[in-house]
Amino acid sequence: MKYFRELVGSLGFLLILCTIYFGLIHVGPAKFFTAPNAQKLFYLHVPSGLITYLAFMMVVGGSSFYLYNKSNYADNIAKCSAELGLVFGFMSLSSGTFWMKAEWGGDIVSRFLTDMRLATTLAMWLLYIAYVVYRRQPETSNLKKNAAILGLSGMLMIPLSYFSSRFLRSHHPVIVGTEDQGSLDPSLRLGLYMGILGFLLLYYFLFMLRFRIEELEKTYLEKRMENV
Amino acid sequence: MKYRLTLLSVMMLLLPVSADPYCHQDECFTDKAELVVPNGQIVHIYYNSLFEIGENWFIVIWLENSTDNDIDLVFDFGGDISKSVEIKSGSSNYTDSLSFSGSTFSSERFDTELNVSFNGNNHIILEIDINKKPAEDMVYLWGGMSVFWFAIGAYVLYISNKLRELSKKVKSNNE
Repeated sequence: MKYFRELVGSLGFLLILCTIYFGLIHVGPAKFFTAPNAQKLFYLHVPSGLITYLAFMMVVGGSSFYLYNKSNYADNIAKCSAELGLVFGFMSLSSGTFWMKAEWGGDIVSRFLTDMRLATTLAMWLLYIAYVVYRRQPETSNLKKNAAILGLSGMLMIPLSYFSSRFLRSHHPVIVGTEDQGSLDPSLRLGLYMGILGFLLLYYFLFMLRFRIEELEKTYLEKRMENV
Repeated sequence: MKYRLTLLSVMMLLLPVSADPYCHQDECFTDKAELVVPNGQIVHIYYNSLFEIGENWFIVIWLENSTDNDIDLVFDFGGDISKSVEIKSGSSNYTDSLSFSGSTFSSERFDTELNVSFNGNNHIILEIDINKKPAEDMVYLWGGMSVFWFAIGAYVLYISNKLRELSKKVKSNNE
């Protein structure tokens, strides 16, 4: 289908709007929270966080394939996904910071330094900033190989960030994959799943668009080299 | 000692001035109403037309001259939300107040009617706006939401600009 990518993007955007309507208006103020209004950030914070992990896992996957068989296709996937991981990571970290300030209070900097979930997630995000900055140089096979090694370090950072709230010192609540997920209020669960699907579709749309740009850029550079 | 006095003076200046329950000067309340009772006596009612949820809401009643009979004033918002004040006969320059708790209402209601009646006969209606102040954590909610839209918007702008520039380059290269 010609406009499949755009259709998926629009559907994702629509689902996010529905999630926001659902969270802000339909559900009403949250119970059992110090900041019942700021709790609405949950509907954006959790899906964007999960998509951040997905995006960085794509970088790990792409980097591994590149190191295994020097596939440029896999390298492109890693490069494009890293950029998107930064965008979604920014959303997750900033919305989390706003929510944290309202719900927990206290000093933001010391929270990031002492709460292991926050510290490891920020470290993971900074690592991929380094990856994206490194990839802004003219591409050589050596650069791709080094970038892939850097990208692979996510193999350590992603699980460290994801499981830190389970096994290390952290105030961050754990919902996904625990008993709490089953005990989530059905209205809250519906909003969460709708948000996750919306963000997933938006990620797909942006990824395909970014991938297309990458391919175009490579074709352009190759043609230019031929002309020279 | 000097430091404490200075601090106390500064605090007294900075602390918000709340409505004095017995002040019946115009500057204490934003609105005033009058209820005529027998013998041509007038009961002055001082009130604020804005009822802030969470803050006690006062009404001051002032009767300048003495009355021959007892006056029973009832302030009724409807729905069992009412209070009354009894002014005994012979009271001169009588001042009294009553208050409704800040938790009387839980949601916003504009132009709410407060029926003030005298001994169940004469009555006037005061229009009160019940206001709910925005919650303190709203600023964090909108901050988080804004950052979210800013991130998506900025990235979409970035890649669309990149795509446009690249398309131009490819086109000129083909030509």
